[in-house]
Amino acid sequence: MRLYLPSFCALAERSIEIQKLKKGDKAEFARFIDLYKNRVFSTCVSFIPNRQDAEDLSQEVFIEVYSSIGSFKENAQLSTWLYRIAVNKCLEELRRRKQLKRAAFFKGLLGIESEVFEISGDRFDHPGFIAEHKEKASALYHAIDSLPENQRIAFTLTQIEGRSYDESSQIMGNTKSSIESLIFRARNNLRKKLEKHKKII
Amino acid sequence: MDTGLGEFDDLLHQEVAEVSPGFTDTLLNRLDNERIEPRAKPNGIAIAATLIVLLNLVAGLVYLTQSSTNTTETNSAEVSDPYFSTSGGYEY
Repeated sequence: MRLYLPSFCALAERSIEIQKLKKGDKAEFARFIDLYKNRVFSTCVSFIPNRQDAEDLSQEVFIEVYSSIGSFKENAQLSTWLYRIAVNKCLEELRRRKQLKRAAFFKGLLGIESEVFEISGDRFDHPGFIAEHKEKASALYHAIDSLPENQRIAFTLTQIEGRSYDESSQIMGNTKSSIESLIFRARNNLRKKLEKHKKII
Repeated sequence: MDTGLGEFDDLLHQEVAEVSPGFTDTLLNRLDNERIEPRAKPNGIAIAATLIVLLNLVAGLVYLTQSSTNTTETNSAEVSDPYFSTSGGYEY
């Protein structure tokens, strides 16, 4: 019984924290941000390898958490819910960028002058790489970017961020075996794409 | 970590990156300035009540539309063709 007491206390404490967050307690939210900001930023920068954009996106993730905490069902871990929001925000941003690029391409074809826009996230600026590795890392991230969405998420969560298959399956809402299969396919696809890249160099 | 990607393997796993200092303060200021508050949990009873009101409105509109169409049809049948006999064919 004594063995279970600490985990019970931790659970009770977490529940109190969640209730405070649901009431909009800013001090509690500040503590929550400090606890998770770097992990959320890491997730964002793994999907969008640009420091400034990933930081802006991390802010959006926390704002979404703060405003929709009322709908959080406590049958999952708060951190899993948070990372799921982070992944969804990143995917939304990537889709938005693809749409903008497509629109600009068609406008270019039709000869319509569109506003010149530049997406800073297209410039590779991952804070985790030193200058001498940036070119190679940029090629790798470009290859990851071209993977199908599910393969990309599974690969990023497990291979780049180093999350366990269990945690990744909870974040993605998939089974562990489907995550394994997605990673297997992602690796094969990446190997082919990176081989092509090496030949070009 | 060997993922079978050769020379790219070493680039895969990254340490947790850190946000700029002031991240938390900026975020809290945004919450204050943009007056962001936690959204209330969707209330099942309120949603059901709204749905009932909406359904009633739609049903009312359908009823009104149908009754006005019927009135128009009746009126037009009465005045459109005075020689038309309901027992069959035209009567001259």
